[in-house]
Amino acid sequence: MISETCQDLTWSFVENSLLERDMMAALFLLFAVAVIFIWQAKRGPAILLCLITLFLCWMMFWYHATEALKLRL
Amino acid sequence: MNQVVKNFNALFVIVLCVVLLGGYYLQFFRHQEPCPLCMLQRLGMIGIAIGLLMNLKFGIKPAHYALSLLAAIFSGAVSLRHIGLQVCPEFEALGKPILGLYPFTWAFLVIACSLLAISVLLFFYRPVVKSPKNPHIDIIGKAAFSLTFLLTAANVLTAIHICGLGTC
Repeated sequence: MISETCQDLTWSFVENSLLERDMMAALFLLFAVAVIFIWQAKRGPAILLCLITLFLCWMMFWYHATEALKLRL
Repeated sequence: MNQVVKNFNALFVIVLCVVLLGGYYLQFFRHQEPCPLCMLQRLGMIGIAIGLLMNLKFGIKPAHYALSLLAAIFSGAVSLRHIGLQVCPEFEALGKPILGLYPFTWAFLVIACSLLAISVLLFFYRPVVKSPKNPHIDIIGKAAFSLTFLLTAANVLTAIHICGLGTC
């Protein structure tokens, strides 16, 4: 039983891994824009953008844990 | 004292950038492509660095450390999940061990050390009555800014390069 669950988990991890990389690129891009904001001394937008990006990172992690790996949390 | 703490912040960012460069070494020289969880760990490390960069540019404030802490907690959670996946004997370990530990375990240790370092920095936090609007950033700070930006931009390109635009 445990072995079957592990096999499903491995397959879903490999199959879904590639789908998510585009979304990762978008998250890296948001952080790059935040660094530009900081360099241009725009504190408010930089903090807001970072918080939004971190929220999206958590969402991505949640998606990865529940959808891609099909785990019950 | 304030300048010493700022220099420590800048050095901290450079150390994180060196760790991220290590990820690129594994990717390009050892041909170990990063999985989504590895990328999320990288994102968390960049988040930590961004909070510290804000300290360099806008003066040292607890809100900036809070941002770094949020990113560190996120990255730590991802690393723990990654370590937890290895309980399955069939789950093929992604990558090869370095000095006896897998890269994601090293990532967790880096995050744990980051949490410790931020706690120490917060311990030495003293409110400044009035910080200058556009403070001078020395060469270490400029190096920290440049490295973080270049690595973040490089991650955008490599993430797209692995898969191309659209779904694979």
